[in-house]
Amino acid sequence: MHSGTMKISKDLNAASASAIVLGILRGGESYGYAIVQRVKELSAGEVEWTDGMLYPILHRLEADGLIVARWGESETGRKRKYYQLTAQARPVMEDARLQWQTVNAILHGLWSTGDAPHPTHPQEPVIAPAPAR
Amino acid sequence: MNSNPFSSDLAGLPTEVAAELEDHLMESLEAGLRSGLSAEEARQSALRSLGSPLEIARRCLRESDPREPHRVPMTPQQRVAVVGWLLLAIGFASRVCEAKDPSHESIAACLGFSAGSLTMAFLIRRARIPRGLAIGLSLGLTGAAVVGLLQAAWHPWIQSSLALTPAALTVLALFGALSGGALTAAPRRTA
Repeated sequence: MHSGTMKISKDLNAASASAIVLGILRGGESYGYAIVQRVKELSAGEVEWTDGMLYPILHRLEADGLIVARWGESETGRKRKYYQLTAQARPVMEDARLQWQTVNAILHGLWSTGDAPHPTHPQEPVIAPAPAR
Repeated sequence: MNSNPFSSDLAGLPTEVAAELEDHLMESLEAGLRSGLSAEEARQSALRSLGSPLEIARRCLRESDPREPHRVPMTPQQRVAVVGWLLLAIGFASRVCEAKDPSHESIAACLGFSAGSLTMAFLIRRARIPRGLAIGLSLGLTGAAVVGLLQAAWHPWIQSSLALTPAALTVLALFGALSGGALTAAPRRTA
């Protein structure tokens, strides 16, 4: 199990960000600050996004036609940009879901404790020594 | 409190991006105030969490329209600095054309200053250089220009060409400071 201080790496953050944003918007229309808060809440603080990282992603998804934006007002009357999914997003999200599930299954198989040796390579795992500096 | 405490941080950004970031910053500020921070602490905390608004705007524009990767918003200070360096570049280059019988050294100096000025304009426009290098370049080039002007006493051609006056030196020094400020205020890459 991981320690309480584990953080998702920057590369993994970048790779998963679009799928996470689309997943959050599947729950309904939302806006930038609320999306960031939802990510923090869902990950219990382990996904460390700078808040500003979200906006270029939203703009890319919008340019790709996966989400649409509309200007509305906040409860206090401030201008606010709301985003929601388009019909085009559905197959993309399904595709992303399958890809992540595949990766998850592979890693789960490799790392699960009761993992049997591979049938074509029944020997003990070999760990190469670290290269000399 | 000012209705928009982030107006200076969002100055020069495209309107829509600025409005969106302002909403985010205000939400973040309000959350900070609710958690017991002072107004200024909450403001700083909101800005820290967001990252560089200019860099975010740049990336938003790039993502919205990948065919225009260089459409970068600049602050008013950066615009003034870029225009200033371009004018200096033109000014230095024009000396060569106007001179009656300039020496090779004078031509080289003018073209060198001109190229340096263009480089400075380009660097501010791109706004992607490390802070130390930015300060060094700005001070180095304006310093070299000042030295060039000061030497006018024993280089009459430079004196007649660049019109050495205390006012010109003052303007140049002020411009150097503004240019350094524009570079150091340039957006950094966000993590």
